[in-house]
Amino acid sequence: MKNHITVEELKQMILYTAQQVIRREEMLTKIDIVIGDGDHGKGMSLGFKEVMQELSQMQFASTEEVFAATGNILIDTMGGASGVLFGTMFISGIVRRTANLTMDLQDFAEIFRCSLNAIKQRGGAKVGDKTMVDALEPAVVALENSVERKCGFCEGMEEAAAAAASGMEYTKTVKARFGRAKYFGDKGIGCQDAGATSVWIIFQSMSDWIKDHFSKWEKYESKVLTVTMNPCIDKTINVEKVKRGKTHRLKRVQNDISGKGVNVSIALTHFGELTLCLGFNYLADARVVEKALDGQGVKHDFVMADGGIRTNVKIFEREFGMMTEFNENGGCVGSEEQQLLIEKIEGYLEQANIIVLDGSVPEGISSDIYERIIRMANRRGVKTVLDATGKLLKKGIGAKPYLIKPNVNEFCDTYGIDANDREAFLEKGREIIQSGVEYVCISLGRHGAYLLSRDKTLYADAIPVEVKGIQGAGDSMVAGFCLAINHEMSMEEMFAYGVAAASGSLQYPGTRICTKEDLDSLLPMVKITELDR
Amino acid sequence: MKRFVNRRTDAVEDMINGYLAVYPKHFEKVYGKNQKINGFIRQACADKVSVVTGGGTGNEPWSIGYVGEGLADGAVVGAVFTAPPARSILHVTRAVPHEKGVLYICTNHAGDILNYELAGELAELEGIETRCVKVSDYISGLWGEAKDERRGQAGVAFVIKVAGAAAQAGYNLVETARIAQKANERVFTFGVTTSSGYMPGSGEIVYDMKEGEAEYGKGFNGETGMFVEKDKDADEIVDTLMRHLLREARLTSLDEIALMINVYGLTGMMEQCIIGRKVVDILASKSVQIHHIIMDRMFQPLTCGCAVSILKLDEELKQLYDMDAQSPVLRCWKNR
Repeated sequence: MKNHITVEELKQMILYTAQQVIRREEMLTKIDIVIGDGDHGKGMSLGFKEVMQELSQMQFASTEEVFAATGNILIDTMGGASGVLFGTMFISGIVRRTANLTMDLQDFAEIFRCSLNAIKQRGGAKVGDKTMVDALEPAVVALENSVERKCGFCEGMEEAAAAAASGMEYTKTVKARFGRAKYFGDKGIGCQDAGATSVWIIFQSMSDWIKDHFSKWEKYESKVLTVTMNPCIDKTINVEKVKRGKTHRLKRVQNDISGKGVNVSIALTHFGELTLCLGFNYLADARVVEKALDGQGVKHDFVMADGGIRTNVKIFEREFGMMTEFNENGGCVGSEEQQLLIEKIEGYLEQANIIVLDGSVPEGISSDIYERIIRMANRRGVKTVLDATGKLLKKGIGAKPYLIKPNVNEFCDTYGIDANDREAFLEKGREIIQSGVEYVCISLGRHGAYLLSRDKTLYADAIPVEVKGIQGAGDSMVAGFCLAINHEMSMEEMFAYGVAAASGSLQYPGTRICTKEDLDSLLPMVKITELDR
Repeated sequence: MKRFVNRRTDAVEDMINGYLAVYPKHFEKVYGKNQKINGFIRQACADKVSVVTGGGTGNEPWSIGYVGEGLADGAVVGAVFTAPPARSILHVTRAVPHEKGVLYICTNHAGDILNYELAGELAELEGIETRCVKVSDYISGLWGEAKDERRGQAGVAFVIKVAGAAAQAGYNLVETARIAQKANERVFTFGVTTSSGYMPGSGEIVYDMKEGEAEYGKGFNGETGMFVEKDKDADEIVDTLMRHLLREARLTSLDEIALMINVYGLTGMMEQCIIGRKVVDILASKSVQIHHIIMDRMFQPLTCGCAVSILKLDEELKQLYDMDAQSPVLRCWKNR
């Protein structure tokens, strides 16, 4: 059960709340015009429009900053008594708090209690004076009671919203002591207070957003997260042999949605594991990727970036069993999207077992991105699987991932080792183990694979299958590893699952991923030997 | 009613831009975030305590017309009938000379008080010393409302006049605030509204009144007044108005006063003179000594009606009151 919200979620919650306040401008005006001067709706709408515009463009390092920014924008733009009082509602609760990455129901109860006290002190109003306090105080008490009873976040917020609603109704029964409304005296009885109404709108919107978002979140509850920074469409052309300068009539061209992390998730879905694809998707082709994943029952929650998805052309020559690839560079992704992704990952990490960081990153993304994510995951005890090359790999290793799985060429290129010198790359692998990485797997394609740990070096032969396409084999291998890790299997079993899954993928042309049946049938064929050191 | 407005949402900015376009030599604009006009200050105000005023717009010449020599040094403008945000007040505070401190003079409305108090705290964080005097001159709708709980209205002009003079004369912040506070304790305004009220800038109706009615003590946002009379002539209305004003002000024949006969935006000078003569007659019959009379447009909600303000002078206030002061639109204190 999710019971906290992250920085990004809090921002989204406030944006939703702002939208709801703006939508209610007319309702607030109608309520206020009876005993006020009818400017409350306009003022609230003005302030929250500014919140929507500014907040969506801001980056936050803590939940406290989100509250502070919201309050400051209201104070700075609204004017009137409402500007100060509603600004206080968001600011005063957080001034004495340290920065946090998440907040739970108790945090909300503490924050709004402080705000309530500050508002009462500033405005001098108490319950029964026909002001916003009439709705805010019951909402705060409801939050506190919910914490006391150990309610969930959702439930606590629902109760606060309900309490604010009764408080709002209560304002109809009392006389005003403040503002323009006080000049109406007994004539004001029967009229609702606009400020209390706004408090209710705010609490109701927060509660609605949390309920909706949390229920979606439950649906996506996943044990293995995969991150695809650089998805693509693989266009695989299958010919006997490329004849230079000639026209080739193609019998079949295969288009597959690819991206290494996506492939891992597809395989895991085939294996019946709970998984979720995270990463970037591109606005121009967003539906292409989503439809392909939805079609295979793979769950996803991408951050949208501008531009279109890249296409990689791959020519497979049957005569040589060889693939020639033409890979486009990815689009450019901004730092804002990068931050959004980090926050999204942070939110999902809470309930994940494993996070897979697989493949290259688009232009605009810093090379320490995997390193940052690994550190984040390690802090929460989530295991990390890193399959990348070059700087991404080197920096990532610095953060001590659980398992790395480069292929031998990528690995040797990264460290400037001769790929034919087995002792050299195994020695490098052991060095990496010494630096704090749990497992190092180096795959050699048709020559099998090595898996190193602190105590053992294992080798597995490739299973003799008819090779029809090699893309996705490494990703299937990662999926096999994840399956084993998820079910807490031994190192040998983990290796076997990885090798079997990789071989399963080789039997298919294009980027087709290993199925559960393949895995089950190939698993007994894996031969693992332990090497002496 | 056809109003002279281009875009409603721009009306306040258009007003400031217009005022400063007509009198470009006198003022400088103060901008906030996104180049939004937060207010303006007068140019070349000397090394002294600065007086900053301002509030919701829509009752001009209050407050924009009150920035001038011997008066306020800066004005903060809010939306129509809405107190300006504390941040705008802070921006104007920074823009005026503030080495010797800044005196805020605001009208006593919840929104203004909250924002001026907050602005004062924000200014203090930056090392700017401020004081705030909340003008509460309007004898309003609630019988027996304490003096310091009343709203501010046209009498704010008198408070700014003497505070501006004190600052000009080199009083320090505490002394300037004391003068403003003393003036506030001695200023009384009572008004009567005789038509529906409109929203400046949009022309929307703010409150409705029936034909022939006169509502005493009504607020310019439509706050309920003390009582309503129907179908009275001018002298009768002024008589009622003055009876309540004099009772609250407790004037005796020993008192020397400054008097302001102010009409609202939709009442003309013909009516103003008719009102003026009756006011003067009544005060003469009470043997009140009138030191100075202003018959002008000082505070104008967009409605029919008038307000009469009295400032009870003492020697100190009289001396400050008599100092020269002027803004482009207020000439009543120049070369007297």
